[in-house]
Amino acid sequence: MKNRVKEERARLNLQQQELAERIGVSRQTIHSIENNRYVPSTVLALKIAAIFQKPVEEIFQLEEGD
Amino acid sequence: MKTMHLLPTSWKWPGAILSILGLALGFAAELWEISFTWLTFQVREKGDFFTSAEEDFTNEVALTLTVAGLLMLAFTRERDEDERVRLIRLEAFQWSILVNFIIILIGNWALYGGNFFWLMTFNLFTPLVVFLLRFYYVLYIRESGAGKLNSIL
Repeated sequence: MKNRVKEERARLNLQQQELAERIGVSRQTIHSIENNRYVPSTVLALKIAAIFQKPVEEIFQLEEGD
Repeated sequence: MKTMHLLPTSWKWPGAILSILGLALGFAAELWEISFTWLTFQVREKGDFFTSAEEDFTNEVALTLTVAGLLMLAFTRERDEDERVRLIRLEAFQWSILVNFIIILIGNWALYGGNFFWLMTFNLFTPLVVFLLRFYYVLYIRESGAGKLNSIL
């Protein structure tokens, strides 16, 4: 699964730490989501989408093989 | 999102101290046969050729301290506990059970009698020890490529 968390975060001028605090996870978790090393739960994906005020499928998309 | 109940982070140091004390006492009791008279009690009416009337509880105390300490270390909340840490936790438990049973399988065919007994005594600790090693290793490397966890989702 690919995502646009890094791009959306840059658009809102948010640091990884700020985003992490807003959704209640560690900065390392944001880092690993952005680098496609961790697929977040539905709850976390919805929280991220809510921060960016966009539908979840605009931020997270399935890749071939998923 | 709540999953399992964990102990407060502050329990980590007491856990480490208890397990080190327990391991030191256990090795001292088993390898050098060190025992304490105040831990020796009469548990039977009278002894016979195979069993003594008295039982030394040094190794029981050592095992209790070690297991309690390791459990405290293993079931303590991380300062930044979140869903990814919980996944790392589960994956580390998966590793520990796998290693535990691989050791049983190998020991079953490779060692007999007293040697197998010794192996199984040490193997008592592999679920907790392997869990701790794997869990803290993955937490340590989680920002590098080796921390990839997508494969088990």
